[in-house]
Amino acid sequence: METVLEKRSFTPRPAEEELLLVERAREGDRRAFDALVHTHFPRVYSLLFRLVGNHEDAEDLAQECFVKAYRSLRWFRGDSRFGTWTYRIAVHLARDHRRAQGRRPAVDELRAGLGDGLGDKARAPVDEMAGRELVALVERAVQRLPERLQVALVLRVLEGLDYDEVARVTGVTSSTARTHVMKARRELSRLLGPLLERRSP
Amino acid sequence: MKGRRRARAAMRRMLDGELPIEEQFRLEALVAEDPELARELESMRALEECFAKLPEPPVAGLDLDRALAGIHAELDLSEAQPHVPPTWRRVVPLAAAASALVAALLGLRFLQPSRPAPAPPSPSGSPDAPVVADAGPSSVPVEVAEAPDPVEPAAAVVDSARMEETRTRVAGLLVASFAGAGGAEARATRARRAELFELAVAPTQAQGWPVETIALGLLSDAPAPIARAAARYLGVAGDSYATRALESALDRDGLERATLEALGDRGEHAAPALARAARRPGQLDAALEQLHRSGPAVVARVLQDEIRDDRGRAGVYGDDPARTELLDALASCESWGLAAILNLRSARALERRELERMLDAEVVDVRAADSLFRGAAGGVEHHLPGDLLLVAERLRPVSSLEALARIADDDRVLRDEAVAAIATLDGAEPLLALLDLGRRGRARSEAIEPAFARQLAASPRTVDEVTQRLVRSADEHDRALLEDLYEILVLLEDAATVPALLALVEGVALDADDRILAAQHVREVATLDHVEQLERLLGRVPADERKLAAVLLLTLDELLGLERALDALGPIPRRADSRLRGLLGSPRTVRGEAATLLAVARELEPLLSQQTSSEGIQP
Repeated sequence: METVLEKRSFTPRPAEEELLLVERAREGDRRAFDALVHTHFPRVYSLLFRLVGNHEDAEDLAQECFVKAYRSLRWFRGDSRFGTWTYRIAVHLARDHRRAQGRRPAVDELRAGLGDGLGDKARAPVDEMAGRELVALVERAVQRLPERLQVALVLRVLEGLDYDEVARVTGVTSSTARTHVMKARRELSRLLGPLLERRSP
Repeated sequence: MKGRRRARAAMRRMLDGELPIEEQFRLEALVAEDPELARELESMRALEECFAKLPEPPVAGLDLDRALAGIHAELDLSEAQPHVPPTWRRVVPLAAAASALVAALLGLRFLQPSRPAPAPPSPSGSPDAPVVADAGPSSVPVEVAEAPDPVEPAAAVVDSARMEETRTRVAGLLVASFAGAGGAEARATRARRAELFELAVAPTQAQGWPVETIALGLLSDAPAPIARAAARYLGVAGDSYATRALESALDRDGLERATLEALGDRGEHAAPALARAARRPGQLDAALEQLHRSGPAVVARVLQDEIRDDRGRAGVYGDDPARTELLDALASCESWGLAAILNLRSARALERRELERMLDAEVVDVRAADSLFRGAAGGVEHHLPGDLLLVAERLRPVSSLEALARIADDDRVLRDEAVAAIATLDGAEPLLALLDLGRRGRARSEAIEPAFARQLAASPRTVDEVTQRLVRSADEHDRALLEDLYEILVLLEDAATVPALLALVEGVALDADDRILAAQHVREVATLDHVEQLERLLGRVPADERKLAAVLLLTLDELLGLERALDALGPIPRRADSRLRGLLGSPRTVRGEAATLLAVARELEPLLSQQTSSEGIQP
């Protein structure tokens, strides 16, 4: 499988160059920091978009992420890559944002409300349901996973990080990260099982 | 239950791409036998496909300049305002300093005089304590502050001159270590070069320089000779990050070969990257060559996944020339490749015409098919019956019999085709299977008889073997099959059926009348080639089978003439000899035929073996 993971390839900025930029930014060089923002902003935005579900909030949070990163540069020691570090900030921001937004319907509630989202199609034979609607449903279901599971799943499956990286970003052990992803998949399968069987989008 | 638990764990590992290839095939075989697991796996795969189709975040619409302006405005604003830390941030350092002072005083009071006093606390508190950024505890991750490294780690203070110097040093050592590497050189040799390089670079590494990361950087932007050396190093010593970087480096001019070889060195981990690389213009052969280093099972798996993803790509299957090349490469992966091809068919990721093309072009080997049907790549039950049938029809692997018989048994639509395919297989087993299917109403006699006729023409001994096996069997079902066989042999009216018919005459499976009838059929088709068998049999016919003996004697008379036919009886009394000569020498009409047969039988009775025929004719 691993189609999503393996498809993602990118050219990383050489680590030593990145360290230089961080060092210069730490000394107040805004242009060096701009270079870091240019490199990492899209990925941070992408992660936040997956976590908060809309462009405006994701863009605002991504900006906030880099503001906080700049202010905290003195604590960045290069133990992990700068990108991983900004991911961690972004995950914390998304969590705060989510809490500020209030509680969202849990996965089970979403299941109960399937009819609302999809009309009669949700109850219709599976083959009548258009693939894109199923994909949209998956997207909504991911949004409503418990926070830890959602973050781990997004990082691993959609952003293509390996389990060690997921663990570094979320501040858990690698095996816990693995468990979170597994639980997220199971939760989605449980919710969407009848729609996923014998159906590909 | 335990098996299912294990299967589920394996499924999860498969989704993560961590399940070894052999186990994947084993899992698929296991899942094929368990509908519940099959549903779960299908559901999981569908979910993964949904993930792959989730809309990408609208990154292209981002206005980075606007974002940067926003970030700068925020930073400017905060810098313009006097920063007042929260109360706890002001109190904690003071408390820490006070505690440290007390501890130091206590230490001076109670500790041994020779023991050095504890170091003063760092401004941020205890050296091991997490340091929290000023933006708030939940928004900024913590990093552990460590005591300063005596050799001044690179991450702490980096200046560009030192960085460049280190980078140049590492580059030089890489080029020196990997000069002339690659091509025909074994991976083990490159691994040794990597060890030597790491030995040479150890002092730099000891200073905290991330050598592997520097090598990654060199791969991405250093001049080609250095980047090639970095690729070779990362191929044997890199991690998953190196695999991604190597894949990205394929875009660089002059690095393709070295990078592909490095990906080949990475082994199974880089196999998906090599499968993707095979789609790049001009890199197909080299990528496949490297891919094949991982063995046919791995290649089959990654190519299967790569081709499966074509479903998500625009266009119709077959529009992409690279797809055809990849399919042919897949077909060359022995039974694993054929299993993967059939998996793609099951997943609706391969069209039937594509499979037909591969079979017509003989890119699929009959040995692969034979091996597949033997179960070398997992069970075949989960493949589509129509596909199995197609492969069996085109390649005629002997081991396909079981699968074909199952299709003939279970699939009404494909039954006739399956029977026809069985009829094309060589050997005794297919003939036995046809008899069995015929007896159970799965195969029509019009389909079975030509198969026997074909085998008689190609290998008469095969039919004889079938007969012998059924004659020797005590099984009731086999007896029934023998009766069917007898009818087929009689209908064929072929001299080649004589050994099989004589085997029926000798056995006890048929009743006495049928055995005489069988002997009569022999009489109609026998040739001089069968004289020896007939003579031998006549010498062993018991007294209560006198009619049978009469038929055999008449057959010999017709083949050899009177004198030699009587010789087959051995020494006989003069009177009996005279009577038999009279009976056999006189012209026979159709009516007189029966009378002659009875008369000859009567004459023969005292001359025959005194054994009874209850256990057949004894050897």
